[in-house]
Amino acid sequence: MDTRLDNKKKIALSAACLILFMVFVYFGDIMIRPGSSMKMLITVIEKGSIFALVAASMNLLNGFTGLFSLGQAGFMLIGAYTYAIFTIPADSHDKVYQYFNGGIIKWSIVEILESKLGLAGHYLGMLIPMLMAGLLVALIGFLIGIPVLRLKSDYLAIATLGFAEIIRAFFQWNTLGPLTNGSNVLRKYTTYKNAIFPVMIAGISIAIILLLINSTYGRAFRAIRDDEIAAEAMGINLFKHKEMSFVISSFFAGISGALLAMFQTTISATPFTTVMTYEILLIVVIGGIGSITGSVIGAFLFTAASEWWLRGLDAGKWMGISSSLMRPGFRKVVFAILIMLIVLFYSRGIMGDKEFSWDGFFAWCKSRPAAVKAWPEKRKASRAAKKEARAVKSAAKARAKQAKEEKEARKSSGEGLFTPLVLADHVVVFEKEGRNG
Amino acid sequence: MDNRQVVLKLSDITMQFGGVVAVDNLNLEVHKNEIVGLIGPNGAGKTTAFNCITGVYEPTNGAVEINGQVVIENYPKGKMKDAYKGRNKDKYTRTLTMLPDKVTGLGVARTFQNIRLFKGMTVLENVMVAMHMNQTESVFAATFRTKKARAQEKAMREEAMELLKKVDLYENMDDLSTSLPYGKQRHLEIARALATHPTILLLDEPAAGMNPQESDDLMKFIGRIREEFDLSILMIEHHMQVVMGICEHIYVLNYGGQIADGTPEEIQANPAVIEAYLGGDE
Repeated sequence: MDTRLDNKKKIALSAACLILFMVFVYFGDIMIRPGSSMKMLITVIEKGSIFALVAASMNLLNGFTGLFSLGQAGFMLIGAYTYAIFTIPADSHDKVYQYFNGGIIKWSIVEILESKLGLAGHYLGMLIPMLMAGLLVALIGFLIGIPVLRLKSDYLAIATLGFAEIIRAFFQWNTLGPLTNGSNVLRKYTTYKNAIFPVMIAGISIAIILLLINSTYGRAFRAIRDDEIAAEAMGINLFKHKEMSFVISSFFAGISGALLAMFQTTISATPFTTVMTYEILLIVVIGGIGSITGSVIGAFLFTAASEWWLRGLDAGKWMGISSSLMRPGFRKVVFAILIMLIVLFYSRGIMGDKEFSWDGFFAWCKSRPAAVKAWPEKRKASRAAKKEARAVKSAAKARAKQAKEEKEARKSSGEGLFTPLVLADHVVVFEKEGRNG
Repeated sequence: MDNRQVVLKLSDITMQFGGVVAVDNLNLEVHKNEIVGLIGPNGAGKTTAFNCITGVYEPTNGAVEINGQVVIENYPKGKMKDAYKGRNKDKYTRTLTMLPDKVTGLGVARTFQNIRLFKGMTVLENVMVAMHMNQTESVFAATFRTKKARAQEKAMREEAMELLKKVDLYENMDDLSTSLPYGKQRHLEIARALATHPTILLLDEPAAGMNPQESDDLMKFIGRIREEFDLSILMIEHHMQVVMGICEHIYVLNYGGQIADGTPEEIQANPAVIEAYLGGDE
């Protein structure tokens, strides 16, 4: 029985799902009153989509090109600052840059374009700084990549981590204050009005990453991941392709940084530490290294858990349980334990290296009733197996005990003390063979 | 003498790692459409010689000529200047290096002693990766699927399928490369090398781990692809049955040094070769 759908139907189905989701997000954000628990869902979707994008960009490096890079938080930081700096309204500059005489950039791209083009200019004014953020980060990624991509595995990770920290320190440098506001926060810049904005931008970006991965260049990236030496022998220029992957990944990290700036409404360099990179890495690992679908699912799960489901652990009451253990910070303890469990017992993540497909989805759904029906049997079988294993173990134990007792008995009766030496019954002497000629 | 055109020529190739001379003054010629064997006991420096040709290593001394053009050349310098133990120390004065991907671009493809397929990819994708080198679209065109990029991708896919048909792997097209049986993995490695459009094919122990029946098939297969793809082949091999069966000319290495070369009949009768393989008188 072939249940495969043709391509047109699949595309229609995907489009329908996406549109339904968009409509839900758009009206959800308008209609749900702030303060209600459903509002949390919208927040999770906003932040989740931003983290889905940065996780996908990290997966492009880690999962598809095999470059273990940990610089993503640093790249996000540059993206966030670039966006914020160019969109702070002119009359807010004096307030924001109060320690630096109102800063050096006294205009906002959004305002300039809005005054000329109206509402279209407003959105264009948001998109252009975002694109600038992406391009600047791509340029910086290109420059960092030249020395760093000659390193391999762990060394590459350490080097990129170092660069990310340097970037953070650099942006907090007081001398750059007129531009970056030093270690003070940037605020009052233009942000989006509806949650659909980050969802759409992240969606388009992830779609582009997917297209790239499925192109001939994506195949070359995966070849480098699988075997560098063979890839090089097949005529793939290692450095060029690694650099390409690094730059593209940086670009999307920059875009997601700009989105994060909008989501948070204020931005400072302090939270962009290695901890943030590890969070992104975690999303990638939970979702499955080498699966973009996994990164997206992982991002939403991670954000929902940390922002919503496990919030109660910090507040003292979670799912009806209250304990004096649950005070600020306890959430992170639980999270760390969850992560350890995942890495120990579920290291391939949710999706492994598979991607979502409608065929796979329907096959999975169809197999569920059978799986549920088979479940009691399966459980019975596993129980029986366990019982058998236990029986075997206890039998072995009994045998060992008996043998020990026998030995003890022999020893106490003095039997083992005078066993005769085993002598060889004959000896073979190897003689050197004579050579003739 | 053979008056066919020389497509690959190694002159005085010496490779020294620290104090160890892995390849010592190797001179070798491969003519057009010829199958040349490179044999020798374990550790004789055969694979090192391959790595010098393909740009994985930079030879300490000597030159590699591909299709009449010197592409790799080196002479002992730096620390090696004093440590060098080989011959022809002052013969070469230039340093020319080439990365493996550029060497492949010149039409020299290779396979590996321990199979190196792309594990996470299907058989078809493995072959298509090798065709990536010859495609002309930019990464943007390829990502956004321009008309030209789509046409090229389609052409690539068709060519890969055509190639798989020729090497009897068409039925396994969508299987994961690592799920293939051993013999077919060897065939796939050769098919992947052929996808780079080579004129010279370097085979590193293609018959390793094969039974007599399989190596017999492999011999026929190598003969067939030489005709079909107009190839010159240099192969390292331990199976004497294979080497003596298809090679027209054989070079013998021992402890890095070249101890003999000639036709299979000459090699079989050569006392130095017999000594290297079987051990001679004391």
